[in-house]
Amino acid sequence: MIPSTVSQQQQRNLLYLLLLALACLGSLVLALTSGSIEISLSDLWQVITTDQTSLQSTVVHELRLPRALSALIVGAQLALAGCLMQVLLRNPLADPYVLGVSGGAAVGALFSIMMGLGSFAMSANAFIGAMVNLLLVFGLAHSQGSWSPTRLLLTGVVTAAGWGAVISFMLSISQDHQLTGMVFWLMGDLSRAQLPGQHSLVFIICLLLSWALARPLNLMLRGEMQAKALGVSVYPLQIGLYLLASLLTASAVTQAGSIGFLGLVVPHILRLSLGTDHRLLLPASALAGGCLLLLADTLARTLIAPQQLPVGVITAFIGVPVFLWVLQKSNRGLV
Amino acid sequence: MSLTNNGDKSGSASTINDAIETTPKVLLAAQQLGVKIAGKTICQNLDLELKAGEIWGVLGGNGAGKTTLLHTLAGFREPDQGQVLIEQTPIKQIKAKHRAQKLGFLLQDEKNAFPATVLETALQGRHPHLGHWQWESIEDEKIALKALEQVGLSDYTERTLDRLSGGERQRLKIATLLVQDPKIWLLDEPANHLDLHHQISLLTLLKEQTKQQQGCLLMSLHDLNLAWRFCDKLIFIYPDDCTREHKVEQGDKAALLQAEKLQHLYQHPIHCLDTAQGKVFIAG
Repeated sequence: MIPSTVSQQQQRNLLYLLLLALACLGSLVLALTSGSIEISLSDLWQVITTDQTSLQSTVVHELRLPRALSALIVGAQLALAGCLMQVLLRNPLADPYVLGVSGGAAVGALFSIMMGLGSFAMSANAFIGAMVNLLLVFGLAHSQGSWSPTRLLLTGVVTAAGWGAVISFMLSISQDHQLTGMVFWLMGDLSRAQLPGQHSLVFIICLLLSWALARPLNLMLRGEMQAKALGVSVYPLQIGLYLLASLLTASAVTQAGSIGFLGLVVPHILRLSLGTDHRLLLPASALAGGCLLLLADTLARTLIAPQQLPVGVITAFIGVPVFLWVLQKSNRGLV
Repeated sequence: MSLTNNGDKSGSASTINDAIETTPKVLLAAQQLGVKIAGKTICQNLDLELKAGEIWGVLGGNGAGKTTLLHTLAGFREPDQGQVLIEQTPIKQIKAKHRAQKLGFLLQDEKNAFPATVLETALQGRHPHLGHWQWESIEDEKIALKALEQVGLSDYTERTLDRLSGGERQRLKIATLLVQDPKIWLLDEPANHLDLHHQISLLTLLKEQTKQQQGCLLMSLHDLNLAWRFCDKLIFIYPDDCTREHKVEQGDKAALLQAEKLQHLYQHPIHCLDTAQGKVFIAG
């Protein structure tokens, strides 16, 4: 039974966020301790608190921690971007990639692999590709003066299809030894991950900005006109949403390639179980997305170790049954 | 469950008397308003004054432009000529949020991408009154619960919108407006989807609210009997092919609700009968 008074609801929201934060912490500990070299909890504590140089310390600080933090940030960015995109387009099928941001980034990244450029150039080119897409879709959807979600969605979907064609072309003309790297990038892969310094800054700024828009977002669910009638300046809000979601996606894709499914499914799972209030939904999506991707990545690198799986495979393997289960159990309507 | 507001009747009577002694304030005004949609003129040089305590109706056939006129008066779309004023301030100069504190709008259709609960939806009416980071308080919740009681949805607070019937959703929209508590009410076909009982009880509630709080209300209607019963003044939007001199006519309901004018308005014969229960309109 959902508590009926506003104050109970607020306490409930805090509790959910706290639980999700704990889950994130738990998966972080799990990620740092598990792998080809098992590290016990007490060893982990020592490694973190003392300044020693041992094999365990190197493994934790140089390999596992950057990768784990990247997973948290990327997962959080994707889930948050997915949630924003679903409100902007008012479409339950929207995900962070629906408007072609990942397609633009992929073309940039694959181009770098083909040219044999280093990982820095690859990230830079992926980000440039994402930004080109952002401006292209925005400009094209805008051209006639009217700017409806449907128009934006169609423009983005068709642009994404265009990128898809370019990607297929690049895959078919590239050499065999480059193909594995390309396919891993396209499926999403955290093995190149570095400490997400500037990316976590992007994430925190976007989270705070979108959280500040949470109540207007609730109104947007009931249509642009209804939001307008209740005093929301709809057009600036839509542009803001588009920029925030695109920036988050671009940043996530730059770090880890196009990890699928997470951005579509996490917001839905939370909506079905926690309700549609974005003041809870936005931070909850970020926490749950981060937690889920970190768990998936830990599995991806331990399941058939020393071989690694692309994490995108695991997110789909976990996400599909969880989503279907929640959908079956939920007594909330989806559309 | 009380559907009509049985509040302090004597209190409301005295406020009305006070208002009659002083000239009622103009809350919403249109000056030389010209509205076109898709090349079709809906009105030209329209001057309109909605004063405190007045209830207006907009009547016209399908596609005459009732909704477009209401949207223009609410500031949702720019007029092609002239301007709309809320308490003497041009509506263009008023921030969306401040406008929503004064002017409430009942939309004809509504979309729900991800349905919220009935209580959450009613609470959304508080949006224009809350600060940026502010949460709804216990007071806001009381206001919302009272509005839900007034429209007869008290038992459905935790239900999601996709599980409501068309009429229940319409009542919820009216409840959200009651929670928003504006001075100026613009309602686009408020009687839509409502059964007879709820048409009468909710329009009575809105009428009493308008008279008591000295607000003003403008609604588009298709039912002449409701227009006769609830409105003080009317706006007729005649069809294009009509040979009348003015496309838009406004005035007291008694002057406008005449068989000959209604025939022009709907391009259909309409009979007015005087019965023991009052005037009744029947389509021929």
